This record gives sequence, structure tokens and C-alpha cells, in this order.
Amino acid sequence: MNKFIKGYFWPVFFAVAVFGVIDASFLTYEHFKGEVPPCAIEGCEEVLSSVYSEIMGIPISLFGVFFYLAVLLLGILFLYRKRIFFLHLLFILTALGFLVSLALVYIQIFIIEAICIYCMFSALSSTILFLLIIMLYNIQSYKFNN
Amino acid sequence: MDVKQVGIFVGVIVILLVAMYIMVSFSSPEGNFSEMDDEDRELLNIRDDDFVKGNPEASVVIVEYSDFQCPACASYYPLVKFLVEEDLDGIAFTYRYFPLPQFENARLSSRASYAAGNQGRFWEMHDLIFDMQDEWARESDAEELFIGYAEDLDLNIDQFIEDMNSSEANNRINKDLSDASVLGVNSTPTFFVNGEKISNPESYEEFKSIIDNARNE
Repeated sequence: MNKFIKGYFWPVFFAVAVFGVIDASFLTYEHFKGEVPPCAIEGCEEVLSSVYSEIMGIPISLFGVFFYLAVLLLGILFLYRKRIFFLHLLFILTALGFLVSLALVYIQIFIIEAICIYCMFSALSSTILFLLIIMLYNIQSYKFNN
Repeated sequence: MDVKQVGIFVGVIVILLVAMYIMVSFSSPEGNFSEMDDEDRELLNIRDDDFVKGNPEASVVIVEYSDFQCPACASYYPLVKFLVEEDLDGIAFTYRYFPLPQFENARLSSRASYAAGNQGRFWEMHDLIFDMQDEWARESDAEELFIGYAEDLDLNIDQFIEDMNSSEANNRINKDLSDASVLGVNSTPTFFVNGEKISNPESYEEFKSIIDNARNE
């Protein structure tokens, strides 16, 4: 387990976070491109043009960009400063991201009844980040307690 | 970070991006259009019961599958209207119904335009419905509003109401929907120019040049 943490954990963690930034940036770019998206029976257009796609005029994907950037930053801080405080923050942030993702997936499936793959991959990456942080948390608290 | 870690970092990003790309292209409908055969293309000829604007014999035939309640259709409407009215001799334009399930008044607005069409005023109603989209789109009793538009157009109201609620109106809409599904239409507006699906033009110039190219072919 420790070997995994040493060799694989951080590359995987940062890769997923960077992927999240790319994905959410793409969705934000699509949002601001200014075209009226066509109305579709199913798929991204319907999700991204729904009333659930923004809060007070700000696209949810932009929150996503800041979320993944914050996760990246906290990850770097924790890795180099080794302060458990940053891990606590990471835990809270990724848990929040996970819960928000759950809500957004629920809205896609049961309310809009359409799936946007880019959004689903963002939900997937925030879930992976949350699981990775739980894993790290367990190992760290084990270390701190013994 | 050593080389192996950089490899893992890059590898995970690439795997995620490729997986996403594959899933997006699998769920994308674009492929359907290439499978259209000649029989399917005949669906894109002007029919006797089509509402046609311009010259039905023109060398350029534009078929639009559209939904009166779709915001994108409403935003394309003035552009298309301008293009067609600019060249009424050279273009045959027809509007076909593709009411989307998520819009509650999509079908009703289609039926209202059909009923106006029965009295020879399809295009006036078509324009009015798009112009007034904000007014009726979220209205739970939109039928009253459409009757009001029919009054504005001096239609025979009893006949209008009867036609709007007739099975002919529904049959016509269902016919357009089933043709559209054969043609692979799954979003609105979808335009076909001389039997070819075009990707929605982003400007007047772009649309104009597609039409000019079709004419010169």
C-alpha cells in the first residue's frame, strides 16, 4: 500500500484533476461560445441548455474549473508542505465535489432525462478524486495514530 | 517525479480523454446521415401537402425540420425568412414538424400552424408563432393564445379550432416525425439543402454560400 502511495498515488491524483480541468474548461468554452445550441431529443445540448446548467448566470462548468484547480493546488501544497491541514481541506472539498456530482447526475437522469457524456466524465473524475482522498486519509491517520 | 511517474500521469490523462472521446462519438448521431439511400432522399422532395414558400419548382430545395418552441429554431427563423424572401424565385423552402418531447406546447403550436395552413395562411401563422414564442412557450393554456393569433390573421375561428384539434393535424405531424427519424434528424433546427443535411450555418454569409453552391451543382 505504501508503495502505491509512493509511486502511483500522486501521478494518478494529479492526472485526474488535470483531466477535470480540461473537461470543465471545454464545457465552459462551449457555454460562452455564444451560439444558440440546437434543441435535441437527447444529449449534451439538452443538458447544457437546461435551466440547471447555470446558477445566477454562471455556468456550473466554470465552478467545475475552479474546483479542479483548487484540488490541484491543495494537492501540491499537501505534497510539499506535508501539513495535514491541507488534507482536511482536500477531504472537505472533494466530498463536496462528490455530492454535487451526485446531484448533477441525478438531475441529468431523472429530471432532464438526457445524458451529457462530458458531464458524466466530470462526475467520474470528481468521484475518483474523492475516493483517492479517502484512501490517503486512511493511510495518513493510520500513520499519525501509530 | 521520475520518468515512470510522469508516464503514469500522462497515461491516465490520455486514457480518460480517449475513453471520453470514444463514448462521445458512439453517442453522436452524425453517422446516421451517411447511411441515407436514394429512397430516403425522396423524403426530401417537396410533397403535395408541404407548405412551401418561394417557387416549388426552384432548383434549390430547403427542408427544415423544426420545433416552434425550440429557442434555436426561433433564432434561425429571421435568417431563413430573409434568405428565402430575398430569392423567392430561386428557392423552395418547406417547414416540417419536429416537435420535441421536452417542450409542452411544441405539438399544439404545430397543430395551430397546420390549422392556419388549411386556410392558406401557414406562413403568416408560422412567423407569428415564432415572433411570439416568449408569450406562449410556458403558458399552460396556450390554445387561447393561438386562437388569438388566428383572430389577428382574420381566420375563420370555428374552422381553425376544429382543424387545430383534428386527427389530420396530428397525423401530419406524426408523418413528419417518422420521416425525420428515417432521415436521422434528432435535433432542431435541422436543414436539408437539395437532399443533403447541412450543419447549421453560423452566419447569413455561410448559409447564402451553401445555397449558391447547391444552385451551381
